[in-house]
Amino acid sequence: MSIQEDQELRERLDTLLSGIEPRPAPVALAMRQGKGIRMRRWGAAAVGVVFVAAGAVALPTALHTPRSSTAVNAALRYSVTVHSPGKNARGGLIAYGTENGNRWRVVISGSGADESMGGNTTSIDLGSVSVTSADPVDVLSAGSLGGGVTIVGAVASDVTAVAITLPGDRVLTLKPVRYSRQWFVAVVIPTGVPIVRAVAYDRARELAYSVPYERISLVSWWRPGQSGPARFTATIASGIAGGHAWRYVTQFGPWGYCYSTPGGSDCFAGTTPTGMSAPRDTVAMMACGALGNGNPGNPTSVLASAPADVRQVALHLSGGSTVRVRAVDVAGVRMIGYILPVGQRVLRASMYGAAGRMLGSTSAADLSCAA
Amino acid sequence: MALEASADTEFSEFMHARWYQLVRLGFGLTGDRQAAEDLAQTAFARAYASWSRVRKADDPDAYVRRIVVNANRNRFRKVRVSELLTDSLPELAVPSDPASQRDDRAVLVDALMRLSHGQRAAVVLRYWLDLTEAETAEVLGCSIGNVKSQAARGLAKLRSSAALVEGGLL
Repeated sequence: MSIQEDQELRERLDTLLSGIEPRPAPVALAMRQGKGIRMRRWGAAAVGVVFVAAGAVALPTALHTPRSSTAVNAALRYSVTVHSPGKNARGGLIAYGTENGNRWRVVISGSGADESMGGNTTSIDLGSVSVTSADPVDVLSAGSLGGGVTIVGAVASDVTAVAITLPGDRVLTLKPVRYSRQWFVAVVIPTGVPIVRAVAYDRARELAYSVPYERISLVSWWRPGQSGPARFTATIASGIAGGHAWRYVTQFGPWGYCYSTPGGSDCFAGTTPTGMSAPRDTVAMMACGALGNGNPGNPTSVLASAPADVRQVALHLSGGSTVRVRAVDVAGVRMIGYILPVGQRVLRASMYGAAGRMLGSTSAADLSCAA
Repeated sequence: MALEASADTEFSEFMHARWYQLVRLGFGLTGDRQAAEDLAQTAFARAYASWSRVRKADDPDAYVRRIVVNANRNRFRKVRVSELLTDSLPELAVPSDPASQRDDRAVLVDALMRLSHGQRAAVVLRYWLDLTEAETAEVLGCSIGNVKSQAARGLAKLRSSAALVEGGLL
C-alpha cells in the first residue's frame, strides 16, 4: 500500500468511526474496581485482606516508649516485641522484633516483587501495594505469609505513633519510619492473637481509632467521638454448587463495612456504605472466585452490587440459560450473589425494579470473574 | 496522604486523557460501544491495581491497550457461539449521528467483525489509532513482520467486502 493510500484509509476509517461518544471516563469506578483487584490479589497470596481506613481515642502510657515496645500475656501465652530502626528506613527496614520468640523484620522496597517472606523477613513491595487512602492510617496489608501475622501500614505525616492494643491490655507502640517520602509502620503478631483496638496519635492528640474486623483487619478509622456503623449482618445469597457450600454475608459493625465470601473476607474502604453501590444502570462485580479453594474446575461464585432501585437481576449466561437473582437490601445498598457453572459467563444483566418493571440492561464484561 | 493523593491524581489524569482513545480501540475490536466501554474500564481498573508499577513503565499506553486487546480476545473466545444467539443488536447510534454515516459505520463495523481477531486488532491499531508497526507489535505481543502480514491480510479482506466496495467506503 502506498503512503497516500495508507493516509486515505486512515482518514476514511476515522470519518466512519468518528461520532462514537463514550460516557465520561468512570475514574472513580475504575479505581474502586482496581482496589478490589488488589484486595483479591492479596487475598490469593495470603490469608488476610488489604485495607484502607480513617478516625480516633486515648493515649496509652506505652506511647512514650521511644523506639521499642513489648507485649507479654502469660494467660494467652504470647509475646511480641517491636523495634523501630529510627526515623528513616535503612535498606527499607521499617520495623523488627520478635513474636513468641521468633525474630521478624519487615522491609519495604520498590523492587517490583510482590509480598514475600524469606527467612524471618517479610518484604512488602510498593510496586504492588501502593498507598491508597486519604486517612491517617492506611493499612496496606494484614495477613500471614509465614509464621506470624504481618501488618503494614502507611501513615500520614502528622501521625507520630500508632498504638496496637492486644489482649490483656498490652499495648504495642509503632513508630513511623520514613521510606521514599512516605511514613510507614509495621508489626508481626503471633497467629491467633487478636487486635483489640488501634489508635493513631499526633503526639498526645488522638487522631483516629480502629476496631478490627475478624481479629486483625483494621478496615475503617474513626475520629474521636465518632462510632462505626451499628452491627448488621445479612445473608445475600447461599447454596451448594458442585458439592461446595457457598455463602455471601455482609457484616457491618464498628470495624466498618465488610462481607464474607466463600474464599475469605473483603471490606469496603469507606465511612458510609453508599460507595458500595453500583453506579446508575450498572451491575458491578465486588468479589468472585471458583469454589473449593479457587479450583478452576469448580463453579464460580460472584458477589455484585446493583443500583438502589433494583429488586431483581436476570443474568443471561453463555450456555443459553437465564438466572434470576434477588437484589438484597443491605443498609441501602442492593447486592446480589450468584453461581456461574464451569465454562460459562454472563453475557448480559437485565435489571428489574419494583413490580417487575425492567430498568435496563448492561453488558457484563466484568460479571464473569474473567479478569 | 500526599503519596496517595498524587498517585490518584496522576491516575485520574491518565485515565481522562486516554479514555476516549481506549473506548475507540474497544469499539473497533467489538463493534459495540457498551462492550468497548466495559473493556476500557476493565483495562483502567487493572492499571490502577498496579498503578505504581504501570506509571513507571516505559509505555503505560501500551500497557492499557494490551489489556483491552487481550481482554477482548478472551471475551471473543468464550462468547463467540453465544453471541450469534443474541437476539438484541448492540446499540451503535448516537442522537447526533447523521443517519447515512451511521449506516456506513454499521457496514464497516460488520466488515471489521468478519476479520480474525489478530487481523482486526492490527487494522484498528495501525489504521485507526495511528500506531506505528513497532507500537502495534508491542501491544499485540508479536513481531513487526507479523503485524505487517496481519494488517495486510485484514485490509485485503476489507477491500474484498462487497458491501464496502459497493458503498464506496474503501
